[in-house]
Amino acid sequence: MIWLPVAGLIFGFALVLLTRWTIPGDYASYLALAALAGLDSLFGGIRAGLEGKFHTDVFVSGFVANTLLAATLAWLGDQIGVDLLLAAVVALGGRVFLNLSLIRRYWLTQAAMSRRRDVT
Amino acid sequence: MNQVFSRLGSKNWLFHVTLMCFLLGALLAANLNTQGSMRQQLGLPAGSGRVPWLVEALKEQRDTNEKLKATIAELRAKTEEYEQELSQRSRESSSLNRELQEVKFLLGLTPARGPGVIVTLDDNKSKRVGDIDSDLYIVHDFDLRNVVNELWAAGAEAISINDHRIVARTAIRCVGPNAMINGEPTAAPFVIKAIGNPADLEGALNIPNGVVDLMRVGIKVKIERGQFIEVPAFTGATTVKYAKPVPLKQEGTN
Repeated sequence: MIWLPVAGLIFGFALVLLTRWTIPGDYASYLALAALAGLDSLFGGIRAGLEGKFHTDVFVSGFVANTLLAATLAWLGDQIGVDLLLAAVVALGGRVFLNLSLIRRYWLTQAAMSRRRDVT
Repeated sequence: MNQVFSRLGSKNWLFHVTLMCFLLGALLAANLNTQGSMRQQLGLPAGSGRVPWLVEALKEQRDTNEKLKATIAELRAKTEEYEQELSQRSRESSSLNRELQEVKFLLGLTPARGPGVIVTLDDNKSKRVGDIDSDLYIVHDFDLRNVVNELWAAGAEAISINDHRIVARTAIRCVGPNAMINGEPTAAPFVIKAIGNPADLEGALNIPNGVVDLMRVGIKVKIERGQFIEVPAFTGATTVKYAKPVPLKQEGTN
C-alpha cells in the first residue's frame, strides 16, 4: 500500500522529465517554491494521516495557500529589493523537518508498541 | 510497518497522498528541466548549481538584443528600398544614391562577394588539458587580431570572422573561453573570410616567421583560396555620440 504514493512520485517525475516540459525562465523561482510547498504539504499530509486527523480540504487548501503565499512573498521581495523568498524557503523547509521528525516518532513508537504486544 | 499505517484506514488519505506525490514528482522534474534549459541557453556547464539572478538578467538582455538586431536589419532593408525608389525620380538623386550605396558598401553595411581566402583557426584539442603550456594550444584574441591586421595590410577589402563583419569600430576581445566580436560572443573554430587578391593575401599570411608561422606552433591553421567568398553585412549599431563631422570650409571665406 505504501508503494502507491512512491509509484506516483516516480511516475510524475518520469513523465515530466521525459517530455522535457519547461516553463519560461522568469517563473523558474516560483516553480521551485511550488515544489517546496508540495513537499511540505506531502509530509504534513502523511503526519496528519498518522495522527488520524487527515482532512482533505485542509490538505488541498494547504498546498494551494502555501504556494500562493510563497509566490507572493517572492514577487514582493523582488519589488522592494529584500530577499523575502528566503522567508518562504526557511518556513517551509522548517516545517518539512518538523513533520518528518513527527512521522519518524509515530512510526518508531508504533513499531515499539507492536513489538511489545507481540512479545508479551 | 503496515500496522502503523493501518491507523489511516481511509482510502481518502492514500488517494490524496498519491496525488500529491505525483504532483511533487512533476514539479521537481519541471524544475530540473527549466534549470537545465536555462543553463544550456547561457552556455554554462551542467550541475553548476543555482543560476544566479545576474545570469538570468544577462539572458534577458541577450534576448532583447537579438530582437533589436532583427529590427535593425529590417529597417536597413526598408531604407535601402526607399533610397532606390527616390533615386529613380531624377538623374541627380540616382547618382547620389549610387554614391550612397558605394559608401555603405565601403563601410561594411552591405554584404560583399569576391575572390579571396578563408583562414580557419582552431584549438589544438589533441594536447592534454592541464599541460603547463595549454595556453599555447588555444586560439586567442591576439591571434585573430594578428591575422586580421595582416590581411588588411595585404590589401583585403572585406573581412569577417565567424560571419561577424569586421568594420572600423570592431573590437576583438577575449572573454573567458570565448572571443567577443562586435560585442557578440563566438568560439573556436574561427573561420576568417577575407576578400581581396587571393595570392597576395595567402602570401602575406605565409611569410616566413610571419603571423601563421608563429601560430602554427600551437594551434591549427588552415588557409584556402576561394573565388566566390561571401562576407555578410555589419549588423551592429552605428550611433555616434561624441564625434561630430568637421564642416567643409565655405567658398569665399578665409
